[in-house]
Amino acid sequence: MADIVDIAVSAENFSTLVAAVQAADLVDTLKSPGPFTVFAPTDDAFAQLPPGTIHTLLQNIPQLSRILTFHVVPGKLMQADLQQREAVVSVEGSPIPIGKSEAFEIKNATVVAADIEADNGVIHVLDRVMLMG
Amino acid sequence: MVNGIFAIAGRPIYHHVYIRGECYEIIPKSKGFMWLYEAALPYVEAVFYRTSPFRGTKSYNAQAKQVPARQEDFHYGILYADVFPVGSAGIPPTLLMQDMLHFLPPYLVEYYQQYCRGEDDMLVQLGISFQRSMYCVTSAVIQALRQALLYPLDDPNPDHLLANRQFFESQLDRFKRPEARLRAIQNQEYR
Repeated sequence: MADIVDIAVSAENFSTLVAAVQAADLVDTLKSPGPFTVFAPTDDAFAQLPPGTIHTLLQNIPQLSRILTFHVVPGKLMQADLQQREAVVSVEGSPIPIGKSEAFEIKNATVVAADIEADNGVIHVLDRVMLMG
Repeated sequence: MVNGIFAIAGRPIYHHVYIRGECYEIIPKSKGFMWLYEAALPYVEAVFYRTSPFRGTKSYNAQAKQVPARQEDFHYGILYADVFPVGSAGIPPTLLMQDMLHFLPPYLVEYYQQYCRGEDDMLVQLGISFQRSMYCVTSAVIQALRQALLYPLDDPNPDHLLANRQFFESQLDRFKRPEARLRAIQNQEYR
């Protein structure tokens, strides 16, 4: 099996996320044993952000890191684990509420592909970039 | 406007001071403080939702009893801001209050005369009215937070629309609290 970063790099729709993780120097962390649960927004999700948002973040690495680590939770939490909880706490420190409806929803994002297992954790693919608050 | 708030949401907030060539990181860049979370939202909350004072251009001396000694007598009210120009044209809130007073229609002059110290603190009363009436700011915040944290207005999922509505109602409830109504805060007992 591959690690979280390898899976994201080999997939087609995570090029923005991979570029952001590289810019924020988080590659080594996400290649470490972890384990981590990563909520991975697709390229389309990043493209929904208003013009300029990504550009500003790429120029300000500590701020970019904060947004990215808000999408990471310590431990390997599968869909079944997550849906039993009301919220989980991100590596950034802010809580991430778990949706209660039938669809698998994380905060205001919907999971479009769940339980993609990696050597060092699991990836759930999101249709939106989440923001703290 | 909502897009604009987003585009600069991630701008860094930091404060570095150079003294004799040496850099002191008062608010370090590495903390990752962001415009939206560490500046914009707290500012709107403090100034427009809770009527905290605009800081004036002069300091107050506690030893000279220029601020109340008892904790319960102290409140974040614009009363402690320096609303009179001190040796200059004044800070922007002062200029704004002066402008508002200058163009105040007679019926409002009469209205403000009935509250607090009448004409003596009319600038303060105008400042409070202004802070509590910045609906251009508060409505932008409500729209931006909905966009950032909830769902699009044309979202087809009824659960998402319900969440949007609950958020909007909770925001409106804040404006309906007694302590948010102008007639309740235009008095000297306001804390």
